[in-house]
Amino acid sequence: MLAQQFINAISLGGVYALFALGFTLIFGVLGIVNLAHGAVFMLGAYSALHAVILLRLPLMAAILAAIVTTGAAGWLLDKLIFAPLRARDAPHLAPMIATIGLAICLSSSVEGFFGAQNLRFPVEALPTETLSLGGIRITWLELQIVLLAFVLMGILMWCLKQTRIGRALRGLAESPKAAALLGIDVEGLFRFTSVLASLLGGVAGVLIALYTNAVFPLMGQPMLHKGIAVVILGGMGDIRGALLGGFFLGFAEVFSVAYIGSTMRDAVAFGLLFAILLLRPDGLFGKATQRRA
Amino acid sequence: MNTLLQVTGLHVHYGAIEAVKGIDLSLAQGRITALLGANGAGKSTTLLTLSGLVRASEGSIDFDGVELRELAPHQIVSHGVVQVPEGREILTTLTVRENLLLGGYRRHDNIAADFKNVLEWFPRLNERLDGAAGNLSGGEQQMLAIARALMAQPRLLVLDEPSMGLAPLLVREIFKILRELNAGGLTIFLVEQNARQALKIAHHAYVMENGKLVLSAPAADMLNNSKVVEAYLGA
Ligand SMILES: Nc1ncnc2c1ncn2[C@@H]1O[C@H](COP(=O)(O)OP(=O)(O)OP(=O)(O)O)[C@@H](O)[C@H]1O
Ligand SMILES: [Mg+2]
Repeated sequence: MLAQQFINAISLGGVYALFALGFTLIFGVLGIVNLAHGAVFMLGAYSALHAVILLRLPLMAAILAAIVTTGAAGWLLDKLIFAPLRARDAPHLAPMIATIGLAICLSSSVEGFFGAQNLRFPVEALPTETLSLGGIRITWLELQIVLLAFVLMGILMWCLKQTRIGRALRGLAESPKAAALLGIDVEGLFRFTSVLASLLGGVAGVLIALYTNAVFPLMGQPMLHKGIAVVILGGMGDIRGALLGGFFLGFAEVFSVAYIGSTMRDAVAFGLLFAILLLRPDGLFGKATQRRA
Repeated sequence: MNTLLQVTGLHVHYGAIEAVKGIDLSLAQGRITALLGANGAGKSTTLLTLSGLVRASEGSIDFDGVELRELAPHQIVSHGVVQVPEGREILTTLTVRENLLLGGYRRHDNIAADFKNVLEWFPRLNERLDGAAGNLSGGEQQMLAIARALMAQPRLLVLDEPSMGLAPLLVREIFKILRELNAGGLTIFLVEQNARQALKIAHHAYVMENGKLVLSAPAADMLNNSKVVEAYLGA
């Protein structure tokens, strides 16, 4: 029983971490609180769903389709919103308002096209086999979700740490001025960050859609709240913090459902988050708030 | 004497404020040129404009036949104009090694030899390679900033007040290194408030006041004419 909950918590936490990673990347590198990240997440879920229903693509190809759609959304997000605001040196609130507006536009357009109802993946599209490992049962689907989330996070962490572009991203996150003087194409890398962050959000959207088998226009809202909480818990802009925060929330939710009751899930999870922030107001790895103060 | 960089009629505005009011200056290839002046004269603005971080409203910046004025900062670095900015701009959350590697960001050739080279110039960095750059002392950070700029293989090295906040002994050490780099053929453009020190290593110097160049003379002449130094530089 405990081991089973552990598996559930890891898979849910992995998805939260993936979502929070995108959110924190945009904050850390672009210095923007992207309130459209939840809508991009929803876009990922719809893209994969319709790739399965309309194009009859297998699940993995549908996830690729979601990556392409949300990556493109990230490109447009920077091109149409972040870049013009950057060029005008807009104050902090402007991008927040702009991304709230975009989130509303996106969810209402999706509602207009596909309706407000809850959509589901067709059963035959989802793997149904179950694996039994020493008494723990894990569905093939859960396993894929966990693996994908972990592989993506692993690749991202490795690239940030070890590669030329990862170094450049970390440099840019600390100081755009220094980055420009080092010969880093700052504008290009801002755009790249927006694409990368959005497609991470998109994949998280597909994974949650598969996990809960529910796709609806406002599915990004609760996720956005969780994402913000996780990122604040981790310390705004801190990558490790976002990962840890994501898993923390996953565990808090799963274990409060298991031992306290499902109605109390969010209350317990957010209560714990709040308690931690009382102890560490800057979050687990917090110091990033100093930047662009 | 070949001119490596020629600035003509340069004006720079911050909104309604005109910080640089039409300057002409030229940097001779293989020489050290100093730009002196009091606080707020417009020295840093001039340098930031050379690197493309601040946009000129008028004028031209000719670097060996290439017009830099409309180029993006990273393109300017590609052409070989590399700046050590005021305040150093060390990336404190990265390691010393990572800072140096980022210095060679635009290069596609092998940077291993230069990596070894700059560590010979600045042996102190060697012991701190894998520590966070933010833990270096002020002097070490300045050395890292210069070393990092050298990793880009500059054709023109631009430095904005490298002596700022450093103990006299360290200032001397850094100026000695600049002189040696120049002896190796590197063209240097040096902004300083520490006028005497700068004039000692420079070949030519300009004095800036209120956004205008008010004096241009061989550095030795300026150094000998103590009246000039007192009048313009208060030192
Ligand atoms: N970002 C900015 N926005 C508005 N005005 C600025 C900005 N940066 C500099 N200035 C103004 O432009 C003028 C020139 O400043 P600059 O920094 O170029 O001088 P400086 O010669 O480098 O001075 P210092 O020796 O103190 O470094 C000053 O009046 C300054 O207040
Ligand atoms: Mg200055």
